Amino acid sequence: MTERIRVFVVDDHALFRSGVRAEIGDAVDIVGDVGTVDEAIVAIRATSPDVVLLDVHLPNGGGKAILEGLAEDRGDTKFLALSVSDAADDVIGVIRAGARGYVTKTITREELLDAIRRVRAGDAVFSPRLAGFVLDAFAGSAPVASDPDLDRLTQREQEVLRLIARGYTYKEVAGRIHVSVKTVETHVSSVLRKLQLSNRHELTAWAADRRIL
Amino acid sequence: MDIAPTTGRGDSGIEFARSSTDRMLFGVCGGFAKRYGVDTYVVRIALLLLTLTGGLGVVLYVVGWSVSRPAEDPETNGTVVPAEISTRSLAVAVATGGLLMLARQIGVWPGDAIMLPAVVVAGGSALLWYRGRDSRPQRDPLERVLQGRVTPLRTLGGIALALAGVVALTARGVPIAQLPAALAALAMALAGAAVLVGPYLGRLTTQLRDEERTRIRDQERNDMAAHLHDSVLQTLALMQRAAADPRRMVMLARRQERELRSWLYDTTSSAARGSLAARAEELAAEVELDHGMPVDLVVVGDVEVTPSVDALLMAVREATVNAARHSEADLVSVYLEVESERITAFVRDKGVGFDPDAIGGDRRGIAMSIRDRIERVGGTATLETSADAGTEWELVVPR
Repeated sequence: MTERIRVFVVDDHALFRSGVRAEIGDAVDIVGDVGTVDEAIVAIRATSPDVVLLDVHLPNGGGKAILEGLAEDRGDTKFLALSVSDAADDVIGVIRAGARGYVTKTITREELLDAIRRVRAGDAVFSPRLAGFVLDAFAGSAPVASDPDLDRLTQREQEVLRLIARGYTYKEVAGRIHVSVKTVETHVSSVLRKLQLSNRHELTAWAADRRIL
Repeated sequence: MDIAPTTGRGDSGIEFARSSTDRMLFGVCGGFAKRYGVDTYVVRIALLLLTLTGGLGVVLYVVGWSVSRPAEDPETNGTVVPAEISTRSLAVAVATGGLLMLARQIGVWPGDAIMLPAVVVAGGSALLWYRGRDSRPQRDPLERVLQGRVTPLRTLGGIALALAGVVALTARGVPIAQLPAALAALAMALAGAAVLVGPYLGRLTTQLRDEERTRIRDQERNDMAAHLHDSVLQTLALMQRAAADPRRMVMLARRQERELRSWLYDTTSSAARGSLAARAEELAAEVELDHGMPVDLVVVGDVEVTPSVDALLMAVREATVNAARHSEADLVSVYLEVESERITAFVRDKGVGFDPDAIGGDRRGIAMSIRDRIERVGGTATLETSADAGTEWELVVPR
């Protein structure tokens, strides 16, 4: 049997934290849970968990503030953003600050465990919502930039993201476009890298444009 | 009626039935025309023209009446192929010309000055009213022109001939100096004719407008049926299930009432305002509330709500509700993407799937609300469903 993954939960709703504990506590080790940014930075530094489940919206800066507070000494800790339904710019902000994925709280237990394992292994986890945000962020003509490869999604990456946005799991995506699950993971990780590294003007100016809702 | 080529077949001898539908007086001309496969108007004009020469037309009409049977009901169709109508009508015209020559020889002739213009007028009228191959009965020539079934050239030619004849008739023997006065008289005559024709034109316009109105009413009835299906019938179905829970019933009823009011009394439905993404959020929230089914909604891009966006959203709603009610899945995924030319929607569940052919006629959901809505705005609706992969709708509408 493989070593149990050590998970830390950050969410300002105590009820949700105990819910996560009850739901996945038998499959992973919950090494701690807190509800504020400051506590989280201290506790994560102290416990150095494998995976942090991170609420996007928290008082005093949210998940992004925690990632930035830990920027120097994150070690091997991976972050997975988890929340109900947030504004696109908040989610993209958390990803760009270093989270390896984003899932919504409607996710099933099995899917959540799967996402935790993936993030632990260094893969990216794209929920339908995140895939939609990313498609939106990379939509439009590619700008004249220093590194055009980082600023544009390939045809295949777009195809994969669209299927994820439609509710397909990685495995279903792989079956649909006749590639291996590994290939899907590669595409998704590549998208995550672009999302985090691109200087694409739209990604930064995006929040301002996106005030539609 | 022996002026016409008696090449009739089917009917025995020269006897024919008067027409009950195509008639001015007793249906003699209509019946004759049908029996011998000529145009009714050509027969009528020929008779009018012959009436000028000593009342020959009246005599022929009476003869025709006496040798014909009363109108049959239902009327038997003519045995003549449409292609022959032109030739036979021309034959009637030539026979009429022959009779006129004969009348001139034997002296029953009111004089060239009257008859020549009259023949010109008759020719113009025949050209104008001639129905030719258009076998539909009782079509007004003006309507045929309006509907583009008659070449404008023929119409103009007919009008020009008829007018020229009228002018010649009026200006007969008038010195050049008095021509303006004569033309003024003609103008007054035309004005008089306009008064006579006016009501006819008015009636025709009304008729066309009525047809248009009927079409719009049908369309609206379809829209209303679809709307009622989406809202009121759905709510009623939900209420039957919630009968044990009075609070929920009241809530459902109140929400339906509010929605129905806003739909009935607003010019545009209240839901038709706002953007695509905002409406989609509302829609997902409603389905979650009504059916207790989580809806995972992803929207890429946004756009103002146009009628085609509205149709798309209604179809998405219907597909989502169907999934919530029948799929037995834990979740419905709705994906909307706005592209430059079109808007695409996917509604997917990983449920039990269904057999689209097995859905009964009273379940109007799929046919009416999803496919019809999408196709009515020029889009396409594609359904993929199977027992192991669930159900997915792909709905595409142009922007």
